[in-house]
Amino acid sequence: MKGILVLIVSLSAFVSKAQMNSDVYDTVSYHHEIGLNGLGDYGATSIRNGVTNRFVLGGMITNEIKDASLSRHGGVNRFGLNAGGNVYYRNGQTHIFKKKNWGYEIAAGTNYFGGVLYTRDMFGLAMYGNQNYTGDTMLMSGMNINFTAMQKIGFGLFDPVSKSSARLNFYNISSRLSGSFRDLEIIQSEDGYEMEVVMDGEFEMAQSSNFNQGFGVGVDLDFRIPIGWINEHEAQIQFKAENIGFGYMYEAQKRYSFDTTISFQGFSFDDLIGENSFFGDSINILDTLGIRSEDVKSGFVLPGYIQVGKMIDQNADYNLQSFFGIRIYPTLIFSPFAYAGIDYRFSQHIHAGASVSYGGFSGLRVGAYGQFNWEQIGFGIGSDNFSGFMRAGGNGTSLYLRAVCRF
Amino acid sequence: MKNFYLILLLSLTFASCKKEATVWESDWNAPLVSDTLTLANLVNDSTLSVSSGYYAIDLTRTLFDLSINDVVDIPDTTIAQNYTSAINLEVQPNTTFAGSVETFTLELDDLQLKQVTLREGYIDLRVQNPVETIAYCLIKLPKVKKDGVPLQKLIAAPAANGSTDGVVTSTIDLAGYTLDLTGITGGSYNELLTDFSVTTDPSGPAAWLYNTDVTRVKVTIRDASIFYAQGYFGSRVLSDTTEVDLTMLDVYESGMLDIDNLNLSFEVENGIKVGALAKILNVVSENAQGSSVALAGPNVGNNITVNPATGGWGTLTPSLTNLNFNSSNSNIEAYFENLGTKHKIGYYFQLNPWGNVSGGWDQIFPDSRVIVKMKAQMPLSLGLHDLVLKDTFDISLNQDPEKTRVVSGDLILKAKNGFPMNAEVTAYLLNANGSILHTISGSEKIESSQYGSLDSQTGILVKTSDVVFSLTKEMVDDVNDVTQIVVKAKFNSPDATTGMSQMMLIPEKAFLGIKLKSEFKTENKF
Repeated sequence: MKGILVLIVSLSAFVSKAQMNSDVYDTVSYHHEIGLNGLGDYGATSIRNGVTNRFVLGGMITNEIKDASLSRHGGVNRFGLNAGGNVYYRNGQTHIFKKKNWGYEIAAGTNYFGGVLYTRDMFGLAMYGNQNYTGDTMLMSGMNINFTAMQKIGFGLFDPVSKSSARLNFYNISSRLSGSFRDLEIIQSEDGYEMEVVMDGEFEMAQSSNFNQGFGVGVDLDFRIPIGWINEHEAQIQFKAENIGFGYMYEAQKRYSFDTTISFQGFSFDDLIGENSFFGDSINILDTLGIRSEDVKSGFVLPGYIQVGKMIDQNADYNLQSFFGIRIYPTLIFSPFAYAGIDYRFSQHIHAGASVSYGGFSGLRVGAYGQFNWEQIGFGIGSDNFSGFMRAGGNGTSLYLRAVCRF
Repeated sequence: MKNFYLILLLSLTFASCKKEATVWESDWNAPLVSDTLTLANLVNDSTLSVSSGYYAIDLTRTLFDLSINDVVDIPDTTIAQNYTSAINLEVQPNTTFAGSVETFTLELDDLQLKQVTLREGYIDLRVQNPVETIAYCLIKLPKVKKDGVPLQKLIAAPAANGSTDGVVTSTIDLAGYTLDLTGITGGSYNELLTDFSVTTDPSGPAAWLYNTDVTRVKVTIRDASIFYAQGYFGSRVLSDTTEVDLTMLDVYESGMLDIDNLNLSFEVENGIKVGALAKILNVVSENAQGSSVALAGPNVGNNITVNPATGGWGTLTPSLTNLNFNSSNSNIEAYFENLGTKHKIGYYFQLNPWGNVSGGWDQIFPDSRVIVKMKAQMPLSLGLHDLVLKDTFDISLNQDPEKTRVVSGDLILKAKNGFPMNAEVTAYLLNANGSILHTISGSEKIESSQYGSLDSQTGILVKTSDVVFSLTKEMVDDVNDVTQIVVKAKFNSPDATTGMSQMMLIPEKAFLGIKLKSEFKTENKF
């Protein structure tokens, strides 16, 4: 509660510059710009904040809290996390190419992106156990889980006026896991003495906690195109892509693959205490269960996104303007994400706005932000799931922070 | 600057948000054990048999087993012969200057062996030559033959060098040799005839032999293993106490067991062509509680004559002597109802108790053995009266209250019992001091098949019982202190009509089907 109060106070009092989904269009040219961005966002389509907040902040998840989330679950549900930050430096004074006035930029950052696509029964199993499903079948087919932790450093060019940019990044992959369960069902007999597990899928995970387990190459692109807008105004459309590229895990990952049906009625006494005990060294339990394991070095698509949207124009001569757009990650765990909002300029230095969004890791979300700009310095703070701070029944929480210094 | 402090405050607020663990409870059930216990695996392995559709005990244990080398043994024997010259003389080439024909008596206690064939054995030779020329030593054992050929060996001892004798050693393999130990007359025993001679090198120089010189010949017979022996084997006594462990009965704690129609016998098999005397000195059963019962009957403590084996090579037929104990001639039922885990059997076995009545024609062959077996037969008809069996298991569990753990639960046993006896199972959780921390009692007994219905598959009565063992939160909280689990089962064999325990036959297809599952509540924490 104390933390939430601090955030509310901050949002209302903090003069800032922040826009969660859309960048601000600004044609003012600066010789140097140093920026710092940070984001923390977790969201869910069905799990209420009563559960997720306790996962993040700690606390007892009571049956009432679990029930409230379970009742919101449908057949397909999502839960995900996107967190990280980056620092960049832009130089608009030095022109790399003689015939172009493009400046250059250097950036470094870190990103943690992951989530899970899961069924209602998976949530029930994790939160309630399997006893509620005695005599029933837990349907968990189609589950998908992905998580990537990576750090990047990049160099690129940008147009000092429009701020369109292109940057080539090199990535360190410090952690990655992925899993896909095409079939996963657990069938329990009425009396609970028999269990059958039907599995078809694979799961891949790191075998060490080494910081450097793989590498990647990708690009960040940001193109801004003016188009005609209502009332003969001009609007800036931003085509943005981040972390578009490929990674390769050159440290072998452990891949478990399975296409098997396991029927289990309990161990026999020979299994437990015989010479060929199930738990003896000579028995490979995974083989016995029909689960294959192998060490693999594999390539994968970086968790990047493509976004198209209308930007907020810092130089507009009207105080109220709209912004909207859509963001797509090429992964099942993040559904296409659409957002829209309004921005109001209270004064030359203060903007604030509100937005609604749908998709991504969660469903409908309401956001708010505030931003402050001096000549040489700017700050911003915002959340595209502002209600998540306020209600246990929310479906996630997010916080975006930005700071910039220009000279 | 104000903004900076607010950012810092925000960061610190977020970083310090998680001050307590995330906790939730869930309920899990899992099948643990599914198996069927029968006595079928014990059939035909000298423990159980089946008779008229019911199990019967058919127990055979070997108490001792003597082979040829336990009865006849030739110890390692050294024959040393030293030769000296009375005067100083110059010995010409090819001159025998030492040697003799001798008869050596083997030290074999009261054994009087006339002929022995060796399966294995060696002779180590050592000749010490005091003459300063090569000396050839011819060792003959005229009555030690293999395929009719006497054993002899010629070895060359190097010339002495000043006061240092020339020494040679050699080894002869005696496997397959037959030793005639009747001596030079052919009528004696334990006598080995030897013929040693030492001769100077025919092509060597003449050399001086002084009256202080000693020519030494040493023959060592070692590692002899007997293949066949004939003679008089003496009045050897083999007496010992052997112990039979039935550790599976170590679980007995209290109560009574009735058994019926028990027949116990000791079978003496004599494969030696020697008469013998056997005696069972004592048979004592000691159970897990330390109670002892001594077997009493006419066959305990009295001498029994054991006839010699008959036949010869390829036709040897051991003699068999049986000492029987049954309900009418002994206290055999009380003996076995004691459920002894240790059975001490003292025995006495004497060869040739009447002396050399065979005239030295005792014979023992390669496959001759003296074997004493204990055999027990009875229908497996048991009457159980509050018979308590107990077993103790070491256990080490460690639940961290700060991590995911089980907080309470049940172990649920579904038993299908085809045995005509019931069981009440109780578990005790003990700490390191052996004190009982908690008692876990089954919600009901595993009922006897006599209270069940006919099972169409096996054709026997079967009773199904559901027994719940509840693990309370208090028990689980103390689980880290538990070092042992004692499981006690109290058995009775009630008659379904009267409820009183009585003798029950165990049907051939009797089984105990066990299904055990857990229903645990976990507190998940991270």
